[in-house]
Amino acid sequence: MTAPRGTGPRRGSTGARARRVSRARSRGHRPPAPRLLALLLALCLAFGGILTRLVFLQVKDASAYQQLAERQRLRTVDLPATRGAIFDRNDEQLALSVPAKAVFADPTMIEDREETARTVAQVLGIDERTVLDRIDAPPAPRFVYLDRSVPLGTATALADKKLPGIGFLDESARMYPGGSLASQVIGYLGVDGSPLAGLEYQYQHQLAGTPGHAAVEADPTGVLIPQGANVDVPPVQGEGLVLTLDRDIQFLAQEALRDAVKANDATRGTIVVMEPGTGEILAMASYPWFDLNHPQQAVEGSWQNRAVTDIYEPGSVNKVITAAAALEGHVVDPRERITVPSQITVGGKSFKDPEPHGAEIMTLGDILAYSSNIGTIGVAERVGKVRLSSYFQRFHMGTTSGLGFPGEARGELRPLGQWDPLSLPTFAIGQGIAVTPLQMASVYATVANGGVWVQPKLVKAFVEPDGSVQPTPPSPTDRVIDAHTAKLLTQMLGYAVVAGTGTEAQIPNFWVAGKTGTARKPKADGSGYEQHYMASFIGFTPATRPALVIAAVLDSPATVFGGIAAAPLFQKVGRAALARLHVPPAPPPALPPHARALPG
Amino acid sequence: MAFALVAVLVTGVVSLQAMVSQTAFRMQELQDRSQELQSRTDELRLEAAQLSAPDRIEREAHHLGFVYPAPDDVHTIVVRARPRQGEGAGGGLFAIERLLGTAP
Repeated sequence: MTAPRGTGPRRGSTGARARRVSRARSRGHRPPAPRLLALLLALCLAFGGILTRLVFLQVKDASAYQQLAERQRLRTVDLPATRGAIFDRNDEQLALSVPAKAVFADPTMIEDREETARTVAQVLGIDERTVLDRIDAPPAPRFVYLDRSVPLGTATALADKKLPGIGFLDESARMYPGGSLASQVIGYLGVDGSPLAGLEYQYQHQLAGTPGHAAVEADPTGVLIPQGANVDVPPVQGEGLVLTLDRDIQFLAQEALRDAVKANDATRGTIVVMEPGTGEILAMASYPWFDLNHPQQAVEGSWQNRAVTDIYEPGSVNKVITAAAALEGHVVDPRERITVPSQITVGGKSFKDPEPHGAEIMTLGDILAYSSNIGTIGVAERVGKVRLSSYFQRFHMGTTSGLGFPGEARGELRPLGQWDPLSLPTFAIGQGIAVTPLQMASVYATVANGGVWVQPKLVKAFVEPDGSVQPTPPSPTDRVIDAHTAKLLTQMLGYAVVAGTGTEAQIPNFWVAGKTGTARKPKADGSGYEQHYMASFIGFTPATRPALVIAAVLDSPATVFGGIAAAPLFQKVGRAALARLHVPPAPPPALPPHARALPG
Repeated sequence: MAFALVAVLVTGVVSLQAMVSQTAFRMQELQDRSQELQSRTDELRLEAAQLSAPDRIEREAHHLGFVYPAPDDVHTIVVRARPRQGEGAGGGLFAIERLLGTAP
């Protein structure tokens, strides 16, 4: 029995299908051509589409996709430049940069806030409350700094605690090994590394260097691929600064200044030590000062380098300019015996000497040595305002010193056209004009230097990144007074220390030439003078072979007088600096013609 | 033959790539080590500067009992190169010997 066609199982045996095919072939049948063509067309279209897409990907949009791929793989890493170091004149480090870490927190990742804050505070040595406040600070950012410039060792100790939510970033820390040493001169950086004051600010361009960058390849997990593309622009290290400061003299000067301010119950004080021949500043400081490693703890105003930023009425130390103008103008002969009355009236105002006296016979040397206001005003009247004004200018008063120090003051020197009848007598004795301590030190350096003004200098050389040293050019000079005049003035200033108001500045075997100053402080509103004084002593030693010029200025000392308050400070700093520089003793200066008898 | 050539080439390329990778990792290690040593050098430089800071030296000296000399304790000796004529043994170095004594 044969199964009817179409009613049997459709999925019959393989043998049945083969028989059907065999029957079809035997009848001459083939697969229909349209179906094959359709299949071919479909395949062609598919491959054509793929090919077109390939062309678009590989040719037309290739660069765009390449960029996208590189963006995924390549990262640009900033390479900060190492800031140049600052050295003293003997290559002792005053400021240097070391690798450090910034510690940050992701508050959302912290599990136990109090425990984390306690541990962080303990390791970093900061206040626990501060850490908590930063972590909890609204609006709860995912990144908050906990501390900056953390030493690597401390950062490693904290990292070992494996605190969730605490991270680290590479940075460099500016360190000042001397702490408060020359703090106002060197200046400091902010937490973000930007310069805020002093030489750090002034020489930012040289110190900062040039940052570099590196393009590195990383895998999807962020691990760098060592053999990947690395296009580096290396950072260029900043130049180093070699200062004219002598670290040891700076330290000794600061110690002596602090002691003097405290001993004389002064509000503050300033000291400048410089070489007259080169203009190089060996030490410069104002008390109170601050620790460069903790500038945020500085007391108000202690970051100012008052030797160049603050002006004061110099008082009697200014009389040396009046004497110079008198000698150069030949209006007074050094041997002339001048009658100095008990008081003098100029411009309707009477002037007296601090110590009342009757009419006295004095030479110019006596007037300078005993700091007679009346005698000086008498001499100034002979000099005249035109000549006196020109000598103030010749001694570079009223102009900045050329240091270029940030915030440097130019002083106050009224133009000749604005002088009133009281200007001549008051300016002649150092009242009514204002100078910086450095300007006044420069005046005495000019006398010490045989009459040649030398521009003060703080930077001795630059250290290139390759280590080579480029000295700065010598300071500009300017002849201000004749060498003979300078010699006469030196004798008079030496006499002031031997017999006059400056005896407390004497340094045995070295001889000092200098002058005391005791100037009343003007009121802030310009309505007159306070009952406080600026006490100063400015001079040079050894008098006959000057190696050092020192300006010692104390603000409002209880001891009032420059000869009592500031001269011992000069002496103490002078002795220390002479010993440090191995300056040999020198012969005494000749005494100028004098009318008063020498003491004992 | 062709199969062998391809096999050799593939082996060569893979070996070369492995060597490049190894060298690259070694380079990275050396760079890290160099950076670490540079950091250590900087730290030591800072430490040396801090240890030689004048205020620390003064503090240590003070602890050891050193004091600054009083002005009168300092004597300046002016030494002439040779005794002046007529001074005989009284001047120059002999004067120093008189002051300080000749015993060591």
